[in-house]
Amino acid sequence: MRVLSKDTVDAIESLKKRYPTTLACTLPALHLAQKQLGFLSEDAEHDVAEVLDVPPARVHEVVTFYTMFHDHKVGRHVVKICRNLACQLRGADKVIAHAEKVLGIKCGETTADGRVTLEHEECLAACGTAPMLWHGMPGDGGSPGNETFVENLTEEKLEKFLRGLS
Amino acid sequence: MTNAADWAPKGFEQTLSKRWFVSDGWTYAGYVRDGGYEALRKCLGMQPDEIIDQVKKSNLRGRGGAGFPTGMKWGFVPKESKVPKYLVINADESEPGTYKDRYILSRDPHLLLEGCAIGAKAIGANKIYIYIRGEFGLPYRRIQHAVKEAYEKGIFGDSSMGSGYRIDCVVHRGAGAYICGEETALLESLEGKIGRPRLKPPFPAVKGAFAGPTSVNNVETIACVPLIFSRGVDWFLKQGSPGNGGPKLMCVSGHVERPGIYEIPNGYPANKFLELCGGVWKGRKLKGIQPGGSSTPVLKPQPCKALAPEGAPEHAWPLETDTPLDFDNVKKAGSMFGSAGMMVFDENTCMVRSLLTLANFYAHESCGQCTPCREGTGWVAKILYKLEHGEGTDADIAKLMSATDYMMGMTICVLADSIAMPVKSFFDKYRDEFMDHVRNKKCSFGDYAVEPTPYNFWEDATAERAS
Ligand SMILES: Cc1cc2nc3c(=O)[nH]c(=O)nc-3n(C[C@H](O)[C@H](O)[C@H](O)COP(=O)(O)O)c2cc1C
Ligand code: SF4
Ligand code: FES
Repeated sequence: MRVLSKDTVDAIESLKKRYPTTLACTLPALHLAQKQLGFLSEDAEHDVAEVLDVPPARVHEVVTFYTMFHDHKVGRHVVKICRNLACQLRGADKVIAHAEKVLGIKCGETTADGRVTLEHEECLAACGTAPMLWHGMPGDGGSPGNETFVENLTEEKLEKFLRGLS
Repeated sequence: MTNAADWAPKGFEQTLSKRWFVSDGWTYAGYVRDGGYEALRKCLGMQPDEIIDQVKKSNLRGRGGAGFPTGMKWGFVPKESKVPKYLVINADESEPGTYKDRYILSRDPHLLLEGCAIGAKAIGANKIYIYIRGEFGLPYRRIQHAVKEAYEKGIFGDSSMGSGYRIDCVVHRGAGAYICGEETALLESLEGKIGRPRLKPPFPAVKGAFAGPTSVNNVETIACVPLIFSRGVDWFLKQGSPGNGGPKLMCVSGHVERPGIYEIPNGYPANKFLELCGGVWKGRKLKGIQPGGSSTPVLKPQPCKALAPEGAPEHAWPLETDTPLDFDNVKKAGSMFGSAGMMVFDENTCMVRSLLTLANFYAHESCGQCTPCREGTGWVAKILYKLEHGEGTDADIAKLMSATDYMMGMTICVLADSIAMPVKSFFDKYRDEFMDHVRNKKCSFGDYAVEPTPYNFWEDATAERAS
């Protein structure tokens, strides 16, 4: 293994019994790897491919296709703000502009201290509690699925949330 | 504070959403206390054909978008199969405007699991995959927890409730791609590949997950199944309208006073429904609604002959936006009921701008394997951008229309149609607005950005805990 820890490899191994093929473990395995590493480098792809005994090109293709997988280093926190229509109708444009102002970066960028990466997101199925954002910590070593939504945003609530991220 | 009954028409008994307000509603203990898993017990003692027959009689139709009869879908799965069969639950919820499955997953996960187990028995599958949207945190943790409990309590495992029938269940997380909600892209993704829709036939019922016969069903569809067996087919039929059995979760967003999820009988009139949501916000007038999510044609408050009784004089025609909310009537009104994610636009909304937002989304989410979709979604977005920014010409409008013609019915999946249809309907019904952008070389609605205006009901209830 180039970069995966023994714990991560064990966790991936234990996925295999759930599926008839090892290829099917690719998504959950990458989620686990990203939780350990923060992003999925070529080395990480190589390790996952090795544990699953699938061609590295298959794994690479998956990493580039899905938006939750990062192929380069991102901030400790990733904040994605929904810009789709239902949120826009309730003020998402201003929420996004305010987030950019508070953090001093544009969507798609990371703060200089590596604290926060800010992104646009498409509808996250919280249109009734719009505007809203998604918050995750890719490399926190926690369990995949520990991410959260923050809903019913106002500019004040957003600002308080962003400033509270350490 | 919150009151569950505010979220349904007066006198209508909520069944799909009633447990969302119970604090331990998501636990096994809470579910069993409220009578849970008795429908499964009944079904485990029935023949698969009998189960399918009851579901057919119930007129349950798929809640994922297409409204396909669920009993019929299950009936297509061959009885005998040399390879394992699968039940796959579509919990990828990502159609803009739609957010009901997320609440079922986090607030009543055992209702879904009970429906899953019944479905597995009905089609003769021993394995269930629940494909859940990758971005879902709490819904994922809750459904995972529920699956674990269900194994501990013998719902899943070698002998479901002691019946001798084996049922296994795995929760599979996606990783961010709208197209994976399309059922064959979902199967590709489940198999560990990129989410590209498959050419059909073969249909999943014949060759689905891991090449085995598979039924793919939406979360809400499956959550309805236990009700059919606990309350009975007659009761279920009475909760809906002809041809559309059962209760319906309506997600409403945009410019209403009280956005949120309402449980209504199928066939409930849209105008009364809007009243239930407190009406259009700020006392403004209604400009239009997309009744079933972002991919459904827009309805305008204008007289609609198709909804009127045979021979009714024009002044007596109902409005498009009065349509009864079920698959057949919304279709008559000129749109689709889709996944019941209703978006409401007030009179101050720029329809060009709104459509541009949707077009950008579909252009971004096209998987790219069909030329009409890959190119067409890009063109539509580009032209709408020009129009909205005052750079559009008459020739652009003509191009927009020909682009949508070229996109409809020409592709592997219906993502291309999903934006072509709204474009056509927005243009047909709000033509003046489009032409105004061309004539005046600007958007007359000015600065579109509205103040962030959340409606805090759900949060005050349990959303922070249970979103
Ligand atoms: C582009 C596209 C996206 C879709 N997204 C979803 C989705 O997020 N959830 C869903 O249940 N069905 C979605 N569908 C519909 C599914 O393909 C499928 O019809 C549905 O899961 C079947 O379940 P049902 O019969 O219970 O409705 C989508 C379809 C298309 C074409
Ligand atoms: S219609 Fe679009 S999304 Fe669907 S398969 Fe073709 S390119 Fe992909
Ligand atoms: S549009 Fe933002 S969550 Fe649906």
